[in-house]
Amino acid sequence: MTAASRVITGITFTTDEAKGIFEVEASDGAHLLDLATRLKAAGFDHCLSVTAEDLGDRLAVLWHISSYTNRELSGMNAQIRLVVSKSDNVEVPTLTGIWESANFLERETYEMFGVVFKGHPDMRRLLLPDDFTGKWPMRKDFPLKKTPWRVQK
Amino acid sequence: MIQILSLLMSVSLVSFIEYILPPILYIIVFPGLIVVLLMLFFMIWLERKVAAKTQLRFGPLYVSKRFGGVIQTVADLIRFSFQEFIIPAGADVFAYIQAPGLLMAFGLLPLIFIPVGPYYANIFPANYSLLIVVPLIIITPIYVILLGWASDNKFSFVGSMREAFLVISYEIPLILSILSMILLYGSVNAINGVSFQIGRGIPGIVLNPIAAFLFLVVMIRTTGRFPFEISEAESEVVMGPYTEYSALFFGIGMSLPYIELYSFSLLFSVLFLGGWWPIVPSAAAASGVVGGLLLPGLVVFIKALIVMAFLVFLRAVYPRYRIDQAITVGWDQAVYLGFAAVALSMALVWSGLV
Amino acid sequence: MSAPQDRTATANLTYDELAGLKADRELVLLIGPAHPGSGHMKIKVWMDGDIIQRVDPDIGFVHRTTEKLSENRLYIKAIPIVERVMLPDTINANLAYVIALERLLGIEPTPRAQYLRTLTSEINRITSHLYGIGLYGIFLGSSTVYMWAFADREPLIDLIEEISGARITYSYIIPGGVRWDLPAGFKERAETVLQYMEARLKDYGKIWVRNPVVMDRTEGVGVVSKSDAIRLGITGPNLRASGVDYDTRRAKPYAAYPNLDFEVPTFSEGDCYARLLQRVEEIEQSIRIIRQVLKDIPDGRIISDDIYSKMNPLQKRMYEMKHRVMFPAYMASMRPAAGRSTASVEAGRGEIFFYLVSNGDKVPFRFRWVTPSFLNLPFFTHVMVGQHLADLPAIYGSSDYFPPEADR
Repeated sequence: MTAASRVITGITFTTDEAKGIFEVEASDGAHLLDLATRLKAAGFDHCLSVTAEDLGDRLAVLWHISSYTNRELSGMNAQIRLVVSKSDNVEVPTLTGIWESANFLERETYEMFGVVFKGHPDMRRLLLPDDFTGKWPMRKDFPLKKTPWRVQK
Repeated sequence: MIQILSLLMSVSLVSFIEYILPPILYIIVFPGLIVVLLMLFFMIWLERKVAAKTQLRFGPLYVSKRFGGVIQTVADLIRFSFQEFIIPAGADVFAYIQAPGLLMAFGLLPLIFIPVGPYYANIFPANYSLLIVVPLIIITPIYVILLGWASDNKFSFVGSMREAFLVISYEIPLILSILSMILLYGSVNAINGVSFQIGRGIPGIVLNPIAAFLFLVVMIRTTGRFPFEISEAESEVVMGPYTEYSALFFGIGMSLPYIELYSFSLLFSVLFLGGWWPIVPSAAAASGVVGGLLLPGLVVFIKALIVMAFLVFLRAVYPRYRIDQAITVGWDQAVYLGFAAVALSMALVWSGLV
Repeated sequence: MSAPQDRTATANLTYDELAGLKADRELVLLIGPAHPGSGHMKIKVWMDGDIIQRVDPDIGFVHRTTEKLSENRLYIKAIPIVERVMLPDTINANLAYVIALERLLGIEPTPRAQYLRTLTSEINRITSHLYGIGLYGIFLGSSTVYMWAFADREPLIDLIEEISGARITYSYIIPGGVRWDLPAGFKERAETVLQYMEARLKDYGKIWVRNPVVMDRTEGVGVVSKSDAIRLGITGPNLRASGVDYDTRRAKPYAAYPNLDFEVPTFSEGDCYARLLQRVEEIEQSIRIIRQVLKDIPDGRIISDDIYSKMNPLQKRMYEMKHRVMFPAYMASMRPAAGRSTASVEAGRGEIFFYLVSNGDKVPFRFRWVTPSFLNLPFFTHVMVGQHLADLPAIYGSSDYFPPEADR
């Protein structure tokens, strides 16, 4: 990634404009909340996506945010990244208090990656069926059935 | 036994034609069961065909392609007859089974009290026909509510509650509308009403257009045509009170609005469209079956068909109202219109204009 | 709702007790998944009388695990996967993914390809809006507008079939460009269709948009204020109907939109009627864009030189003869350099967001996408609350929510 950067209200984004990447890294939960609050105040008013990346022994949780009202910011898909160590239930603070639009997105990330968003008002499964017992299907260590379905009885 | 046979023998052919045939004709053939059935087949087909033409479709086509799929409804009836009749586990079985039958009975009953020709007075006492028809028309929705209650289904329940609210809110406009015509004609005998219109040469719809309009609105509402197709609103309450019904019982639920539509339309053409007006039977002809019952009846039937065709066409034009909007119209504007209709009739009568 | 281990504890309770109903007058309705007005989802509605107290959308009935599927397949194979999720609007899903992939690969499509992408995207936008208007008709009980709208998608689908050879799932846009060029005589036929569409919009105005019953049902119903729309992250036409002047085509320009002159209609009311009008206005703008595209489209290749140079001689000859791109072997062995990219595209229902991560392998390391319907979920949880039960289909239909699209 190139070393270009952009500063918005004192927050330095690592950017790669050709690829549409504007990233800021949060060091821990408190820093994340502080960053989010400042970014909200700067004009990022909605959350486009919440997701995670399985980095092997760690998980990177990502919030993609953008702006509807601020013309300068609305061209960016900014992302806040928080890297935490991987366990069965990873706990990170929720950003629904800051961006309410993150509600369903965080629920989806919870069921797919096992990231529990502390303080989320409604931390339940969303897309997967009720009787699904597998753990965290979007993680890379989720066992995939390699047999084609035709062979199954 | 021999006595009965001899009694039957003594009945001459003339008296059979004069006294026994007409009531049978009236109940079994026209406007009774057989014509109702044919009308049902035709009307459902017409509704689907007219809507399809508006909507850039063909509509029913493949059953008897040469005739535009006109017997599609018969095919549907056969399908309904061979379907399984399912009683839901939580249903009140007795009410669940009896309600469609009662519904059908009360849907058909008003037909007996609507005179479709001057000969009618020879068969049934016609003196209070309008007074009897009104409660009979109003009573059918109660069994619709029973349907919903017996089904033990929340959508049925919500649908029947909607029906109940709507019945109550549109009763008064209906009664006021008919009352204004009763005042105008000075009689609760529908035959007198028709002779009044024929005598003055003015149909009721011209005499009191407010009452006619109101009657049309109530007719659309009671028969669940758009835009008042509220209690069966598909996207909201599935099929309303009929949600749990299957097989022939569902067929009854589906065809009942058309039967109601039929009796309403007959009443409308008698009250507002001059009844059998272009045919004015002489006193002698009026006492005969052909001149007094069949020919006038044909005229009334054609008028009713036109009214029905207009009402089923509304499906292609309007979406449905929300329940509270429909209730507001019923209690508010419709009641005022009803009073206006009564006032208009009174003014006409008192001023001696008619 | 409850975890599997809770089931024994609650087995003896009735559903109403499970739902925590306070009094007899409360009712919980399960609308769907087999309900004519629900689509492929279950809407759990708590009602007090006729007033909706709480709505819990239970989605996921048509979840196709597109993200996991795509993370285990070649890059190029994700195109049909994302398309199948957004059936009325496939080009835009295709386009969003390809833009993200092109950013990873660092290739730029040719100008002609950009215009062709815009052209197909706008045709798809019209069909998507017609789909929405038609379904709104059936939600409110007007089968006529439903049939009309679905019938009027046909000429547009035929148009796009002329270009791409498919009716719904085109797989038309590939990294570097598009797969087919415009056929001869396309402009004239497109103009006929556009004129037909304009005439039909007038008919829609008569029977649907200005129908008094429609106005009664939709005006003042399901109002989303401007601040609420922003706060809840609502997207697309629904956002603009609430008065927010935001369009991804303007804010995050892509394809040929920077060169085109078009307006972004907005309404300030934010009710169901504004959302209906918004779609009609957007169809008019799309017609305008299509006319401009057909007038201004530049000549040249439809595939970038990067990809063209990777074709074998037969494929090159085929391209010169038929203006048709056959897949070079490169497409199956694409290994973008390690990196990440995002892309946003304004689809018919709103903004599609893509986030792709490559670690240099031939399958994506992380494939994340968010569809507009998923972002429009707050229509259930927030906008429906406090409305009548009969307004539920009115709001649902006006938001143009499409369950397969939300479930992905």
